[in-house]
Amino acid sequence: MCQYRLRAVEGLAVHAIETSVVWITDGKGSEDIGVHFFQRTSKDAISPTMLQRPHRVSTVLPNSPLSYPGMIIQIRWCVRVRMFYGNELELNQDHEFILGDARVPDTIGNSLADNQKLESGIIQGDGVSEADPPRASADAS
Amino acid sequence: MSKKQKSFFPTKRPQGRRPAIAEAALAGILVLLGVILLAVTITLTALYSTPHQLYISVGYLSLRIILAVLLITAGSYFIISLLWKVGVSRERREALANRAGEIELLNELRRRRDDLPTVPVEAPLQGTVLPYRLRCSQRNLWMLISSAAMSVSLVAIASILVPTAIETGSSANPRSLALVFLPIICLAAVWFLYRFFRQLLKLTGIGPSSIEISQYPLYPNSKCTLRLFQPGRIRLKVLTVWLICQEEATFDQGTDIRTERRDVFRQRLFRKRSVDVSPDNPFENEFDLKIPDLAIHSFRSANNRIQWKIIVQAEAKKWPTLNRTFRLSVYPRVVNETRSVVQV
Repeated sequence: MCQYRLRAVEGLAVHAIETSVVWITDGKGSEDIGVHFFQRTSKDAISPTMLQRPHRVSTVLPNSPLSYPGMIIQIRWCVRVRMFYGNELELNQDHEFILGDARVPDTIGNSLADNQKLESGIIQGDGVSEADPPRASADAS
Repeated sequence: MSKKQKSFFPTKRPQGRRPAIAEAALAGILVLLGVILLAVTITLTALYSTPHQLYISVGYLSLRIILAVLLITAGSYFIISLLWKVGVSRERREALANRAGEIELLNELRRRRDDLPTVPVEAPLQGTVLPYRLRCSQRNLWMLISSAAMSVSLVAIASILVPTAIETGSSANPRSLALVFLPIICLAAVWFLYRFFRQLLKLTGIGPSSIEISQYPLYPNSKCTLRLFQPGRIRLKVLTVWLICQEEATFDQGTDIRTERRDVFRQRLFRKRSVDVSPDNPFENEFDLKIPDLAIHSFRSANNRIQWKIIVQAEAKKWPTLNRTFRLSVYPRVVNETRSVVQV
């Protein structure tokens, strides 16, 4: 379960709030995203009192993919809250958490000298994709 | 367990590299002779026939064309037979024989896939000694096909140019340009023929690797037994089997799409020097495999992939190193049935 509280920007009307639980890939490759949970609160359901009270997200997580801090691929899970204002203004906040205990194995086997003929990586340029920086206005706890 | 592979040449012959070379060379020469005969016949007939009289009699012309087509057909058949025999026979046989069991296994894997999104399923076949047989990645036949097509085309062009060049070599006729292009085309044809035979020997000399596994799919910290089956027609300098975990990331760079691969885990499972293999006496050996504890599971999304695989690496003197890849499915360890909600 995740609980968060919104701090709306004064003078701007909130049109919608989206809450999602997603996994995102980081690293060299283009970003992939998988949405596990999604909830949208539309303008009609939003009121000043609703914005002030804490909100809870609860979902049963899947068995995969597990969080993974790899060398050129990282998989991270997060709760993402996105607030939509008028005039295409939106603010979002990611709150990361770790699913599982997977990690890069700490050994690279034996006989590194024999590895040169194996299929190996071809690094061609720096193509690290960058996730959007948070444009946050929500607190998560 | 080892099944004898019959050669399309019925005579008994010694084991080793020579039979493969002889068969491949004979098949290639037959195709080559057929192409040359056909090209020369058509060229001479077209150049020297008049509307009223053919260059040679109809009967002789038909005989040459039929002979050329027969040579090409026989050579192509031998090549295809050779590739089929050493390339797919055992796995195909087992796959067909065990079709029912395979379907049951596929259904089980599909059910698990629904529980494990983003974990790719590499369905194995049923094994003969151990319960499962891993699927080998497809061998690249395009190099062989492209080399064959190029060499046949160039030989045909050269066959056409030779009589033209001889006829007009001393004149200032524009056709004498044939003299200029003929050596270049001949050199290119020889080069592609060399590539073709090299690729053919590579595919036929080192037979299809086969790996059976005692347990499938695999989980972190799980142990199992592997059995390697390696036929062929060659003496291997070194035979090595690796367990690899590889990250693969695809990204855009300008207008290009690039892929970077990096091995994050590499473990040698087996290594043996001086291995004699033959179709009648394939190499077989069993060894253990253990997936490391806390290892990441197999993963696949649109642009990123984490892949576990076994690579059989065969090195032979004066032969290109051969790598055969067998993909593994490593599933995540399910911690408990009542999976936790978000743990912040």
